[in-house]
Formats: sequence, C-alpha cells, structure tokens
Amino acid sequence: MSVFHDAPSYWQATAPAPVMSTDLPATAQIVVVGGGFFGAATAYFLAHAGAAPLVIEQVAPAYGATGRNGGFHVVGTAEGYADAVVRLGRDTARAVMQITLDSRALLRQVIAEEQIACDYRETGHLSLALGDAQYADLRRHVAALHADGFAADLLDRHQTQELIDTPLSDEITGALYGAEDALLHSARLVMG
Amino acid sequence: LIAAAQRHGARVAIARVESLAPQNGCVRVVTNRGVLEAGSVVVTVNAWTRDLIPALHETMMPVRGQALAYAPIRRVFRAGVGAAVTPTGEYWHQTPEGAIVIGGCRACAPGRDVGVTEMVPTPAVTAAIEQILPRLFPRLDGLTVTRRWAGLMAFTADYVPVADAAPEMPGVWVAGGFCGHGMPFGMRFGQLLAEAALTGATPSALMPFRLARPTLQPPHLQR
Repeated sequence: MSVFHDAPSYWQATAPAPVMSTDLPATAQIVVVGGGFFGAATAYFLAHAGAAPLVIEQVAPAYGATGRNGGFHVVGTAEGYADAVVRLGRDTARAVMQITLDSRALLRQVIAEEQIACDYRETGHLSLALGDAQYADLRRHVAALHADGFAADLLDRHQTQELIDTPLSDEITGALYGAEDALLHSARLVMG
Repeated sequence: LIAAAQRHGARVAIARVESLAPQNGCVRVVTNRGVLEAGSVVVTVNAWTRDLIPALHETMMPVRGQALAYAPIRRVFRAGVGAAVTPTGEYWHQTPEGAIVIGGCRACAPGRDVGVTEMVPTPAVTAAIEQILPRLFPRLDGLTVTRRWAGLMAFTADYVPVADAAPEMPGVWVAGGFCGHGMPFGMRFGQLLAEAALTGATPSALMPFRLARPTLQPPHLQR
C-alpha cells in the first residue's frame, strides 16, 4: 500500500520503503522541516557535526518536488547562463554557478563515503537546440560560460546525433553539452 | 541521505508542521501531532514555504510540473536531455532499467500552472508531453506510458533560489524557490544552512541568495 495520497512518481514507486520514524519529542535543539533532498542534506550535515537534528516530514521523504522531478543533476543557473549574467550581474551569476559546482563535489563525496545507492552517473547532459535561433542562444550561453572559466561544449547536429541512438528530426540543429552533468534516482538519494 | 543522517544521530518524525512561532529565544513548532520547542529551525519545504513563513508569500510562487514514465525500451539516450519545444521546456532521461522519464509542456496548461497546488496531472499537459519524443525522434517507436504524475516547484522573480534568515522570525532559517532546478543546490545549501543553524549567523557564501538582493525586489524598487 502506498503512503502517497497523490499518484506516485516513477522514483517514489521504485524507492525502498521510508526510513524508520520516531514519536515527536517535546524539545529538539535543531529541527529541519521537510524531508526532500535539501532537507535531508541539511540534516546530514547537522548530524555529521554532532547536532542530532530532528527532521519533521509531513508525509514521507521525497514526497514533494525531489521525488517527482526528472532525476537530473545539471549544474548552473536555472535560466541560461548568458541571461543570468545580464539579469544578476557577472559576479552574482558566477557565484551562483560556483555554488552548484561546489554542491556537485559534495554530492560525489557523500555518495561515496556513505555508499548511497542512487544510480548516480555522470553521463553528460544535452540541451538541444531546435532551429537556428535556439542554436544561436546556445552559442551565446557557451561563450558566457567560457568567459567566466566554466566548462560547456557546443555540439553541431552531427555531434549531437552521435550521442542519441535514433535519428534526429530535421529541426534539431545542435546542443549545449555539459560533460560532467549527471543523472540519478532522486528518491533513492534521499532515502539512502 | 536520510538513512546516513540517522546513522550520524538524526531522528525523523512524520508530522505536518502547521506553524512556527519564535518566542523567548526558541521556536515553538506546532504540528498535527503535538507541539515542540526547538532551539532553531531550518525550513526546507520549497513550494510549501509560504504556509510556514507568510512573509515569503509573494517571494516563492508554487508552480505545478507534470511528468510521465514510459516502459523500458532499448538504450537510446545515455545523457540526460533538455529541449524547448514549448517555451517552458521539456526534459527526459532513460533510467538504467531502460524506462524513460519525461516532463515539461507547462506552457500547455492554463496560466502555465503557476499558483496551482494540486499534485495531479492533467490531460492537456500529459497529452502534449506524449507528443515530444515522437516529434523530435520520428523513428522512435514502442513508447508505452506506465504512469503519470505531478509535483510542485517554487519560482522566484529572478530565477535564483532564496537562502537566508526568515524575516522577523529569530531562530528560523529558510531556503527554497529553486525554480525547477534545485538538485544542483541541495548539498551545498544543506551544508550552509546547517552552518547557519549551528552558529546563528548567515554564512557569507549565501550572499547571492539573500532576500534583500536587488533583483528580488518589486520592479519599481530595482536599481
């Protein structure tokens, strides 16, 4: 029987049973509200520092966005990097980008140290361009990333086809490729 | 991560937190299973943040995202893939078992599903998602949907998450508003918010994510 009130995602349906929970104590030095990826990470670092945190989760770990996402770990700003530089200024965009690189380093380290079985694999990530205007956009983002010392590759249509084992439609003109971007099982990461 | 945290001494309770009330140097945590007193609290509930910190009601807007899974097929995709077939974007990847998880097409929903908090998929959006792979890869066949679902993201005005002390709530720290792009922030944010809760001070590395940053202010107050 599922603990999820809503239609469970692929990740929620294929993750191990939720971890053991305790009764609510009367006091706690530090409380973390929420058992998604970020809450679990916060609890992990608090516990590692000896702070014995209490996590309070409303339904089950990875019940919210973590357990219903696409299973990606793609570094960078939410919008394209060149657009983020314009919006935020170069120093802030660079700092946000760097946080995601630091976060990936931590993820690699903790998955290895704690032997978390979450199918983490650095397969690379393709952001496809459809048509010439999107390809020009990707070229702009790659140039902005390179200008700030960050890695990204601009692939043409032929190079993109080499990474996908079925013929591309004519509208696909190329891709931005992040070689160290990763895939993972979001719910198993949180449970593990 | 939760099992690892438990091995290091963390505890987990299942309860719905209904409100947080700072008083006398601690924080009263009211839940549907009782009340407890905490020295400090870190709020990590993203789309549900405004239920606990009303001051952030306008800062983090819930947005519904929808996705589906196809039954396993032969290996076609090794890398994760994103595309902008619709203006709000699509994304998919093939799992080690060969299943394909794909989501997006929010632009096909009324109001782009902004402000929608029901975690249920809708026929218009899932039908649009089912057209993505056949359109981009016309020779790809044998795609059979096995499940459909929805989840809640939270968006900020400048597409950058928030991580800061909660306004006028001493002892409460918050981060969220990941704009559908939270995974690459989770570990470092967890480390920095843990540091904040332990030291009582906001780490300087969180400056780009402060609530008072210029790009998060209403348009007439920017610059």
